[in-house]
Amino acid sequence: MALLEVKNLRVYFHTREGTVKAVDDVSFTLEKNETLCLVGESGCGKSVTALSIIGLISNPGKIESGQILFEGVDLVKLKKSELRKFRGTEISMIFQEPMTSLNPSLKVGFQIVELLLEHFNVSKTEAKNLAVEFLKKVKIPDAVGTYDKYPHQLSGGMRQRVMIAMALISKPSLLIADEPTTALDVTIQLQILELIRDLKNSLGTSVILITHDMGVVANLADKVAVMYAGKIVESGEVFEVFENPLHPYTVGLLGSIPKLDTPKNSRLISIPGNVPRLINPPKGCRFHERCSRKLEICEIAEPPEMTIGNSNHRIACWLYSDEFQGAVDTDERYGS
Amino acid sequence: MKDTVLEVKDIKKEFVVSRFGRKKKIYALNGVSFDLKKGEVLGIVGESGCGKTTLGRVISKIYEPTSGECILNVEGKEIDIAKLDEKKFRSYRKYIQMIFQDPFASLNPRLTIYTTLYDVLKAHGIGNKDYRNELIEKTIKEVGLENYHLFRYPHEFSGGQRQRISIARALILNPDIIIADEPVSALDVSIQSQIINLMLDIREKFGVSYIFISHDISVVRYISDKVMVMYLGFAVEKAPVDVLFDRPLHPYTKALLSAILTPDPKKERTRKKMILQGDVPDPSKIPMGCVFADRCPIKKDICEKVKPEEREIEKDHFVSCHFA
Ligand SMILES: Nc1ncnc2c1ncn2[C@@H]1O[C@H](COP(=O)(O)OP(=O)(O)O)[C@@H](O)[C@H]1O
Ligand SMILES: Nc1ncnc2c1ncn2[C@@H]1O[C@H](COP(=O)(O)OP(=O)(O)O)[C@@H](O)[C@H]1O
Ligand SMILES: [Mg+2]
Ligand SMILES: [Mg+2]
Repeated sequence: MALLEVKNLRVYFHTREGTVKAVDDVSFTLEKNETLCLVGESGCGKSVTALSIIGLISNPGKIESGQILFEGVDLVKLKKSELRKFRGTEISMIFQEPMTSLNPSLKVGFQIVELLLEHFNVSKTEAKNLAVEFLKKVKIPDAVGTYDKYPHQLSGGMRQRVMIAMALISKPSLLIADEPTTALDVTIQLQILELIRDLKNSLGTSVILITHDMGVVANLADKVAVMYAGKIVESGEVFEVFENPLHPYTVGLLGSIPKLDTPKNSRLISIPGNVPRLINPPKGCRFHERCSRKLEICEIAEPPEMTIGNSNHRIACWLYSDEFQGAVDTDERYGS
Repeated sequence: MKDTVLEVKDIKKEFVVSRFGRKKKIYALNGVSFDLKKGEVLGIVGESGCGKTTLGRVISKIYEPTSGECILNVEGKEIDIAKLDEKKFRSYRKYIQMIFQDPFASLNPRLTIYTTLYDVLKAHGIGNKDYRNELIEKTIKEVGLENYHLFRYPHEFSGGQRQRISIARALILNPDIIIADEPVSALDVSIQSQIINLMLDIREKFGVSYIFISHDISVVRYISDKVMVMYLGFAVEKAPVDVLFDRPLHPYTKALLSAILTPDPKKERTRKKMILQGDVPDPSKIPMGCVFADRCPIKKDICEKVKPEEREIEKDHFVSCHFA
């Protein structure tokens, strides 16, 4: 059984201006010991997807439909009190800005001890020792000194390490990391990515990592799901998707990053237009307005999701649909 | 030199901050020098707090430097703008324009784009009404927007469009230098490349020089002719872009380049990485020796005691390291 199976998840925000279809029919699975990266530009629904899994969607947001099966249990159907057994225990989450989840007026060590006392049947002294051990586990150089510091006395990278330590204390089976390195400098980002990889391997935790950075995906992911405007447009094994990107959005996203071998004085691929707002998303394929390979059908009907070849490379795009293979041919003839 | 538009010499900048009633000095810039040629793009990289923004603001006279010179070469003469007071500098302001990370914060929300641009021209006493209108229409097209956009307000635009507007506001004065401080950092990847392409087009067409400040080294490599690497207010290495990427000398530069993630899982997982330990030191306590010593993998005794002099290792390739 997969560790996590998200099926046809829909999460809408009912705001005064209208309904924001933040996550609209999203499905994916995560096996044990696997790292899945959810990648996409801002506002495409990555965080909302994560928050749904950990049960933190609140008004005006609502899970409209779908299932979130965690070891076979549908978290969507659970009561708040039942969910608590999972949140912070089986499933932990870290965020982009660790300050939002650390209490600024309490020493770091104290906050970890509180958590330990909550999760384990240990004495205060044992908890203290364990806390220092966890700080060492996330490779904080001066673990004993850090124990006695307030969050604001630590650098961004050190705070993120503290957050990771706290997230892992309950030995969760799933760690969700929402842009954990976005606010950090590049040399610190590399440290944190290495840390997540090491801990995942040594503790056997599965990871969902959210990012807007294809470099982070390339560094860490086993599987990747590319999101655009509330939907997953392409997903699969990371090597396969990067080697053979199919959706025009994935292709554009990869092409718009300057690489070390991009010739100078060339121009980058750019995707015209802007990321759509999700109150009135474009009809048909949500990407069609910005797509250079748009077909007529793309403006009218939502593309079906299909599997390419015999891998689990999945894509939602009319260009690859058997039904419309004819249309592609026509298009190419006109194009040439 | 004739084609040098800007020569920055030994700029220092200290801030005095008070925390809990106690005053302390922040050494934001500790003697930075470089020159910029006509049409050249200088990229400035380094981690947050290393002084990139402060340097940009000193050059554009938003901050007064504590010491040092900024020699601007325009109108056929050389002027040290660091020495000019506000009033004397006013007639030179048009030569150095700035673009910021957050275009929204730098545009007046109550003014239409037309009014914003018109006011800029008026403030600099450029042209009469007709000429100004003509220039506005021309400039808005240069940045990929249309006439109808002129009568809208900043909030009606997306992030990428707003950055186009701030580029228009800089460009309309026909500056010699545009200082761009993290101009694409707040934008989505697909929009970033639109703006980078636009900046390159403008350089090609108008021969403007850029000082391009960014923490994103791949973007800097792509857009720059030469690069300066900063660490704790020092320029630790300077070189033409290809030289810097082929033959980085300073251990910090090597670490920084090693931290660039390649968007290719095969390459990314097999390449050799240099993972730095620790964090950037406190800018209120500049170490006696090399600023990078406490994180440096090849540190020797001398590094903690003696500040390395800047040396030119090969043509135009400067480094401050005892062992480079
Ligand atoms: N509390 C909220 N109220 C209204 N809209 C929201 C709320 N939270 C998120 N959204 C909307 O949901 C969409 C997806 O947001 P999010 O998942 O945060 O995107 P991202 O991919 O950047 O993490 C966005 O359009 C956002 O504006
Ligand atoms: N107005 C200011 N007052 C006090 N300290 C400042 C001010 N501006 C910048 N600094 C300090 O100067 C140093 C360099 O900052 P900055 O130039 O913003 O770096 P960067 O742009 O490279 O991130 C930092 O330590 C920062 O805290
Ligand atoms: Mg988010
Ligand atoms: Mg800055």
